Amino acid sequence: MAAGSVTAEGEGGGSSRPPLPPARGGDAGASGPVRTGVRVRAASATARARRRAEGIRAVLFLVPAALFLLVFVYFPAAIAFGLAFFHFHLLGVHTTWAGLQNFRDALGYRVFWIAVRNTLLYAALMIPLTVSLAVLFAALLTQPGRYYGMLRTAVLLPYVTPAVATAIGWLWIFNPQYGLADSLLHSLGLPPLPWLQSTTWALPSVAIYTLWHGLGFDVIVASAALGAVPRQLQEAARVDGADRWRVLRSVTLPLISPTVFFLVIITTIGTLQSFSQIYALSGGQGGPAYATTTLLFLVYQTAFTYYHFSYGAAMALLLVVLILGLTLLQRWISRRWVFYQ
Amino acid sequence: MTDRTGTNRRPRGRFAAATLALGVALAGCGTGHSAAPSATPAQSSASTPAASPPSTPVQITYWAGHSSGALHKAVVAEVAQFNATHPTIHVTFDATGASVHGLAAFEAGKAPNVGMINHAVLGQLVSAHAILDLKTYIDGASGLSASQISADYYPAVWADMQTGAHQYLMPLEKKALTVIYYNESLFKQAGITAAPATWQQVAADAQKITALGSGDHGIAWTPSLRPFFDMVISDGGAVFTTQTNRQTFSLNNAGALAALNLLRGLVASGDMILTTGYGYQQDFGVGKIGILIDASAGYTYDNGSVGGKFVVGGASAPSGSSGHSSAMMNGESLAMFNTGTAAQQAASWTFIKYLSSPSTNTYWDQHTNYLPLGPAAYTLMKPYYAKNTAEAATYSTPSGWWFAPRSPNYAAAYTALTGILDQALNGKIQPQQALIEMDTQGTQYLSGKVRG
Repeated sequence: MAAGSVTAEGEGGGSSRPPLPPARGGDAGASGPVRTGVRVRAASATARARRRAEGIRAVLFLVPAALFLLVFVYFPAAIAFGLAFFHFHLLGVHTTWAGLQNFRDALGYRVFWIAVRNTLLYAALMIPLTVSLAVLFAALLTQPGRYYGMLRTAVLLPYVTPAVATAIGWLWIFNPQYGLADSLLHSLGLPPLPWLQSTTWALPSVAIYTLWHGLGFDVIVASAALGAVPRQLQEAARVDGADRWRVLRSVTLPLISPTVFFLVIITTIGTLQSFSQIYALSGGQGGPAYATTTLLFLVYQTAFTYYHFSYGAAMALLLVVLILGLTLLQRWISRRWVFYQ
Repeated sequence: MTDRTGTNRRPRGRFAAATLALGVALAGCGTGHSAAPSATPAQSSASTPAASPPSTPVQITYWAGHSSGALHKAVVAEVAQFNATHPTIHVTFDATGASVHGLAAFEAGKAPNVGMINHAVLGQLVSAHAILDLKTYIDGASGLSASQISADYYPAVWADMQTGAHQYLMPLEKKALTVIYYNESLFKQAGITAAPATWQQVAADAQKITALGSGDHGIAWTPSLRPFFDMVISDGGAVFTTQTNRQTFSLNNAGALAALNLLRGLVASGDMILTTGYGYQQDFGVGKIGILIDASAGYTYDNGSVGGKFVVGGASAPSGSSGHSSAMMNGESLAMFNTGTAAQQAASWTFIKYLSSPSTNTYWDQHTNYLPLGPAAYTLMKPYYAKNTAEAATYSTPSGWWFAPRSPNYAAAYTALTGILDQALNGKIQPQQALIEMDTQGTQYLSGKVRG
């Protein structure tokens, strides 16, 4: 690159941009190469100063978020990681080194495996239902018109309500004697279900509530993806003779597959971290007979009901491993079906 | 006492009325307290320092997890009354559970001066030196005499405060964990003329009410080990190996099997419906449930859900085949946190004595249906019990009162056993097998062999 082509943007700025004006106060009488060299150095210094200033500004903008993450996420996570290797008591009284004992105890604990099973079962219920219903509702609601806008708002509404308060309301809906859920079954000629009182139906009941509460967010995300699908591709497919199902299967779904993958990932993580609705719907017990005890609930119970902080931290780390494993598995599988334009 | 969630309705008018009522109650109660004839601790403390009140009162804080309902109103009124009668001390009440948050608050240097705590966390608090041994205060100049202790507290209650040679707790509230509340209208419709006195009568009454049809059920119950344990003992069985060795469960016995068979039979026949949390209160309020098995302190909530639609009757724990009943008790106690100046600690002791006194306890019992802590409070409660028969019926002879082991592992054992009880009641496991499982798993947890 010719020296004279260096611009204020730095050395990679390209030759199409105008050259820098002479530096103010510089050596105006200097001849050709010397003068150019001075201008280059001056330009480099200005560029460096600008980059530094931008860097400082960027750091200043990032500091609040970084501090938040540091104080409320990374620092507690590091503490929890450390705790898992001790028999920790508050204030450090009688705290002793435990090595891997907490992990061994957790892996040999019957209720831990019940919680793992419940967690995976809950995820198996929630992920396909959430993703498929989100895409379905989004397809139905992505229509022009005032009423569809109102419907989209209605679908989102439960998402903005507090989980515990609405879960308490759903306790009434699931009441086997006088609840709306059984009234609905009765009106359809179906037998009543014991819902939260049953070891079989308690976890699906929690899943129904969670779907009601959280689906709106997924619908909005899926709606945005559907709205971004190029119409000309769908029209071209129709011109080629594809029916609506074929257009959806062969054009629309592949084009929104990155968003579907995103929904799968966040639903998986959200599902594995579910707590408040389980706590509220099971009366804080995780029952009946551990039927709604998920891993996160067990972590809470172990740490904050029984005050076994280190044991709970070890379980939490095992949950992290589970989430990481599932996410990597989904990422690996996604290579076969996620289509990036 | 577990914190209750719910709407917190505290109109100022009601608060003022409650404060006034407490003042009247305490004034009246004070004269009737023969064991401490001169005055309640509140009155005596109020009179002494009033002669030369300091320019600013000593500030102390009190944490108790009663965040809603009648319990919240009552504790707010008690604190207001204390502040009104003790110009040298000012207590700030915070409806925060000291059991859950006390230790962390202590670690952060923000512990309250006085906290209402659950016995399950006592070990943790003591290990962390977060609470003070109250022996110094009890035996001190402004403490309690032996005669006062025996008049104010039943032996079972006072014994429950002891930790070896130390005493970190003072009695605050005790409730019976097994009492019967019933819908008098449904009883009348079913031709039942008296409250059930035995568990067999409870079952028979439940059948009669269920037979009324139209969605009526005899009993609504959220499965709980506490009434089950009382049933076991009243049927001649045992919960632990012995009363002195309570580290080993011993539920595989005839009494426990009879109790579990009775409960399982009621569920299987539809005479008892199982609920979660406080769902039984909602069902009872609808008017289609005949009987509740609840704690004595559940009365204000059960009665509140009824909303005056029918009269709620009450009975103490029924007796079993052994001919006697059993009354498991619990309730939280007062502890002084290891914080504050000497003046604040002295003020805290004055406040603790006030809350634990027969007169304050009487006010508490009348508004929450907790039970009297001792003979003096019971004497003060008699006129109230004479007019309120449902509440009176939930009081049982203190000689039959018993408490859960004060072990840090008990909560985990309790959860495990509740799971097995759920399975047995739902027919997922045979009663005999359930009892064997309870003994095995319960002992593993209680001994610390398995951690919850």
